[in-house]
Amino acid sequence: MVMTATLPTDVDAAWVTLIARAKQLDPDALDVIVDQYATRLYGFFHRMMGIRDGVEDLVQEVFVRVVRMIPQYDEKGRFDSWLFRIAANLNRDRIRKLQRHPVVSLDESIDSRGEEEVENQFVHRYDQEHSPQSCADLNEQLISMQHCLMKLSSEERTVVLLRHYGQLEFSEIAELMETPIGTALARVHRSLRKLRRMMESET
Amino acid sequence: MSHDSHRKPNAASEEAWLKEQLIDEEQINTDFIKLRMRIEIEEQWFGQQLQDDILPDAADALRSALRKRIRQEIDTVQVDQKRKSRRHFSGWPRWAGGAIAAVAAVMLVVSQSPKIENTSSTDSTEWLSAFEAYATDELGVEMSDIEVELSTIANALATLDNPWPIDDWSAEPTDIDGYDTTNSNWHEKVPKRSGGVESGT
Repeated sequence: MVMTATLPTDVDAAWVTLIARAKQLDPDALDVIVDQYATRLYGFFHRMMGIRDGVEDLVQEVFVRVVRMIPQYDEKGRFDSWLFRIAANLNRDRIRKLQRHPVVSLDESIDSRGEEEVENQFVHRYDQEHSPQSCADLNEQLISMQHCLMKLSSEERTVVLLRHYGQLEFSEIAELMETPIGTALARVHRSLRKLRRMMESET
Repeated sequence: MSHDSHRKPNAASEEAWLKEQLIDEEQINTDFIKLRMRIEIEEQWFGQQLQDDILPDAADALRSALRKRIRQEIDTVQVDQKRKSRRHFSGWPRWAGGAIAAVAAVMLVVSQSPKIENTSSTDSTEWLSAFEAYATDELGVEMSDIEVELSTIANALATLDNPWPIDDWSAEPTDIDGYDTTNSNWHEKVPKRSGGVESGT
């Protein structure tokens, strides 16, 4: 296969300019980054934790670190990878803290709060766009998915969610998790297959 | 595949070996492609499960809160940067950094001296050996580590921003922070502003 060099597109050039402005701590440039990544980071933390409490704080902490660290960002790797590395590190710190001072164990975080409370997090989300029936179906599907996600180990959950929300390459996941690329591939595959089986057995 | 199968054999069996490698590589590529395809299918399924996962109104509130927080943090970082730049010894020449590091080294050694055995010797080599033994045995640090740390401090101090804020860089400084530097022993004297040049302690 012949490898051809890819010329930078207008989008790439605009992004490079944006990052250069963000490195100068231009608030408008950082706003664009927030618009681009806030919801994906929110989804990542929400699905990692299984609850919404504290998710916003974690997303805020990611952006606080971005403000502090972006002047040193070297632009060699993809920005997504750099950003979600910060998110993954924050999440790892959170898990370590929980393990040192366990208030509620990770596996119990949903059960101890009660299914009703968890369901309330999703209620009315689709009311304006969907029929009550489809709304209920979607809620049920998301609740079921969250239950299954929480049954994965934190490592398995992390790789699946880094792929989905972070849109990281396998090589980037391998680097972040300090594993060979084959291990990263196998881990993602195994985790997704496990999830699907759990979901199928729940329905 | 075992590690041995990658080892190149002698010329007689080279062709067979090459074929074997080719087959292995094809197998590896095929396995990789199969795995990637399986993952792709699973990921598509997973994406469907989590479609429209974010609340639009919650996303707006989140973005608004984040923008506010980012501006606060920018202010904090910029104030911090200004404070740091004010702390720089902007009127000091470059060699001052090295001098401070040297003084720090002496203070470090002196501060530890009561704890060092056999320090009655006036031989500096012996004294340093005693200090090295103390540092290694009692403090658990190697002299090379201390040297590295001191060199880092010296380098950092020597590269301070705006070390000599005068227009004419070729001119010798005659007054540093109140000291008369035209006197060869200026560093041993008390500042002029405290009442003339007197001998220090």
